[in-house]
Amino acid sequence: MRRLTILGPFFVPAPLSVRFAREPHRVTSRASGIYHVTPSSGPRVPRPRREALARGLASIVGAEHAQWREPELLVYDADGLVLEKFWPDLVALPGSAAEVREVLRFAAREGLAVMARGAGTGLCGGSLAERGGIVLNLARMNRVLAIEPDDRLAVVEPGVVNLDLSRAAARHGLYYAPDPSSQMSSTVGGNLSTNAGGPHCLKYGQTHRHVLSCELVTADGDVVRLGDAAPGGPAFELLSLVIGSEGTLGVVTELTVRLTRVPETVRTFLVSFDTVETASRAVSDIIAAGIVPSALEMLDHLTIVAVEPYVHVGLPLDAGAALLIELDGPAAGMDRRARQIAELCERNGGRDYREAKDDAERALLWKARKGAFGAMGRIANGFYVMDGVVPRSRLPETLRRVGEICHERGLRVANVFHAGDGNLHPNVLFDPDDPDQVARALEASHEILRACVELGGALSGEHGIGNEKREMMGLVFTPADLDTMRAVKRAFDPGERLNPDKIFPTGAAPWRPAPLRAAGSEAAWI
Amino acid sequence: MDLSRVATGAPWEARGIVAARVARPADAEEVARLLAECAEGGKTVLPVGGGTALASGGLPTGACGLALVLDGVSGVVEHAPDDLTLTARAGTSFEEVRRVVGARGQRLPGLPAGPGTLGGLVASGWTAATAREVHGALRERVIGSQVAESAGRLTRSGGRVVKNVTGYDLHRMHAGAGGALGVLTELAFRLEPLPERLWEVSLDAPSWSAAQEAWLWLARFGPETSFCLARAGEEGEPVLTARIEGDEEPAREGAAGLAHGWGSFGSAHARELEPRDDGDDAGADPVTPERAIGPARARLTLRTRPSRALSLFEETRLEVLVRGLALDAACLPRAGEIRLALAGRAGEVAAFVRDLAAAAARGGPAYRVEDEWPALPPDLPRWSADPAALRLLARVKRALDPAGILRPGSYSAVALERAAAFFEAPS
Repeated sequence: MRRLTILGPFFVPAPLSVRFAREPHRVTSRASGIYHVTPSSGPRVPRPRREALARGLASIVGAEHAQWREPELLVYDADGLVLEKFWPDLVALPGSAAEVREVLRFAAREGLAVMARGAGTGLCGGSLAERGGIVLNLARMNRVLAIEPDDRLAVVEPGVVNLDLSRAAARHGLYYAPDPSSQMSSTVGGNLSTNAGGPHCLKYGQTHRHVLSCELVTADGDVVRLGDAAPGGPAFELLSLVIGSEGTLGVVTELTVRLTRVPETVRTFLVSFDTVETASRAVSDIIAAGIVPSALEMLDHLTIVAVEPYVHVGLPLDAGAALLIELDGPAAGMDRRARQIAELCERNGGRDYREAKDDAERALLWKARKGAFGAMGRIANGFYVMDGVVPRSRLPETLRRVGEICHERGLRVANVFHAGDGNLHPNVLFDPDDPDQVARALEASHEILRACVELGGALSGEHGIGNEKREMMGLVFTPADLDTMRAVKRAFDPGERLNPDKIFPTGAAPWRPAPLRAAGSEAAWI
Repeated sequence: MDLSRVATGAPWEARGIVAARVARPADAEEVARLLAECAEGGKTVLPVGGGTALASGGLPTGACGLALVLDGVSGVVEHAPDDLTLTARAGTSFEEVRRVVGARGQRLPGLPAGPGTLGGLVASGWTAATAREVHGALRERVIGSQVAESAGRLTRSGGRVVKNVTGYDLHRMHAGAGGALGVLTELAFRLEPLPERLWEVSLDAPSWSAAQEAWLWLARFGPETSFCLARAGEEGEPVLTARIEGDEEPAREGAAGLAHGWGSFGSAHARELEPRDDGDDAGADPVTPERAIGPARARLTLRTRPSRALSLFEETRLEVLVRGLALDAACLPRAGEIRLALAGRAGEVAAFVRDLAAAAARGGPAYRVEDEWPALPPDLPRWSADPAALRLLARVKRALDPAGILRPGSYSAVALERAAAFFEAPS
């Protein structure tokens, strides 16, 4: 696969020397004003003061876990959102809830912002240190504390990697169902903060359906236990609010999560269609038939063109769309459902129907889906991935609008998406060396999200709002809606020190820099 | 506004709660205007849906300025069968929901039978036993809401899409909040298709230890059940009932496999039921208050780890009976939940709840009062929680209802703080 050797000034990983040397970069678009792209700029707090603060942190977490020197801070200037970069002033790696609590109290005394961070794979800039402060890296808190197979639950620290939990549970025939594509490296704590989804949340639901309780440390250092071990309690409680709150309400230091039994059978199918519309009709017919696939994913023509020469799965290059459909559950009756799906696809013009014969072939079919983002580098130098969501029935119309928006701006777009639940991932393709194209791509991204909202949807299905989409929140919510959310935030965090400048509009220009991903990156977790 | 149009001068009374006035607003805007007036005048407001779960989480107490009856704010706003979503005003009846979504072979899992409104159902935190295990708490199906806030404005969270992480999930926070943080005026839900088939397998076990073994066998090796319920038969002997729903073949094979497996632990039988919405079957609410007769009554839910549920159930039943209280009880082991309806003299019922609360403070099972008659002592927390969580909840309550007018009684900030103090130092 081709990889870029020359990266734009704001595409990581740029050489360190270059990153230090860069001046603020401006990209001008005649159509829509100025996009101000923030460069790496170094920490805000002067070195002597940082060193002094680090001594305070070191007394809590140990000197080796209190970082303040530039090379140590550098890796925290961005997360999966690689356009905007903000240096923290300090990084703390606590080893326990007690240390988290003391760090938060220390931050309160010093008036510093605190950004909790998992693996840094988030795609919405949810852990950026926009106003400096302390990044709280929870990577050391990565123990699976208990697995209770009869209760089908696990007690874990937030830094446990998603897939590691499933591996630990596997010997009991159980797994952790939320499966964001980042699951090889993202953490269960990070997944909680964004209420992460994944292809199989169509059947199993997003993270909020799998978290039974958690321990939360508030901005003032209070330790609060939310929920209990019995699944899904009815009480007056705040657990469901904390899930998906992007680290703005507290720092989760322990989670009790639901484990799911590994299904007896998994059947995976790949089908091609002439158009996105016919594939969408097949999706609607499958749902209308009362079938609940575990995953229902779609690739459009341009994505097929990108991915097929890369994964060699046998997708016809003239296909307008392909559906990846997966069923899981008891073996009984699965043949009938598989035949029914084949018939519904055929009725809508499906062709080249193919079922994975074994796990190796299943992995190959999934590679067509999961490798799509890596394959974008074959057809463009840069792409911008989005996460809009619309009612499933509006997908064909939405995709037409997405195509028009990009076409009007002379851009191509490749769509990969969770068709079963209406969660789109349009990839706007552009040349990062062409400032005008960058500007048009940013504008298109904004218009695509606006279209999603106009069609009855929202800004994000699974990635979160973070720093990336906060200025667009006004498209979905009224000022009063946002005031209420802010009031809740302040009830948890009166000083607004926890992950500030996320989710809520700051009043900055609506045209903010948007995330641009280096083409060919394997690290696009969609 | 002209309150006389919506508020009668006559006082309102239900379950011993008396409100100086009653209002039946016709839409969300009227609800908001009424709340604004009450906030200004410092009048407390009791939001009422169908009036069937008024005491959920504690019977409202103290002077009540306005009973805000919401059954007029009703009607399905949108049923999108292709999207498996329903948006309806909060006063919409269960019957209306069932009629609209059932016509397209869909359901809102856990919708009870009988009278009641969607808003009341969500606010009370009630979840049907039959929906508990596969479909989870009802709050997990709520994807958006409109709320009339105590200061008199209408706000929204979530939306009408099934997968959405845009903004705080306030709509799930309102589930179970009893209307104390705002009055639900509209709700959106994720629906499910009706299953093709429904089977029920029952086991008459010779002893509670055999029942525990049978339950563990089911948890480890048995099919996925939508619901498993344990009750004591007339002689106190355990009876387990499990349901399996889904496609024809796996449901049938699962039921046959379970009946065979449970055959090792007692007398097991499988039978096929008509697949239908949950509401009209007995499993929806496994305890029957009428079976527990006495001058004072309470319905309670206890919660523990699933593997502990059956032994706790047995211990609790014995404890209640030793105390001479009348009881109807059921256990949902997969959900880790025990539901109790008990009756006796007022002091005895209160003493039992007080002992539960003290046990919860020492790390014992969690509990919640689902209904009470007459009112339990005001100092008795109506549900257990971590004290720090209760104090945080009090802060959220003050932030969203600064005048403190919504849902007087156990949901007030003062009561939450009092409960926190109780669990810090149980008396």
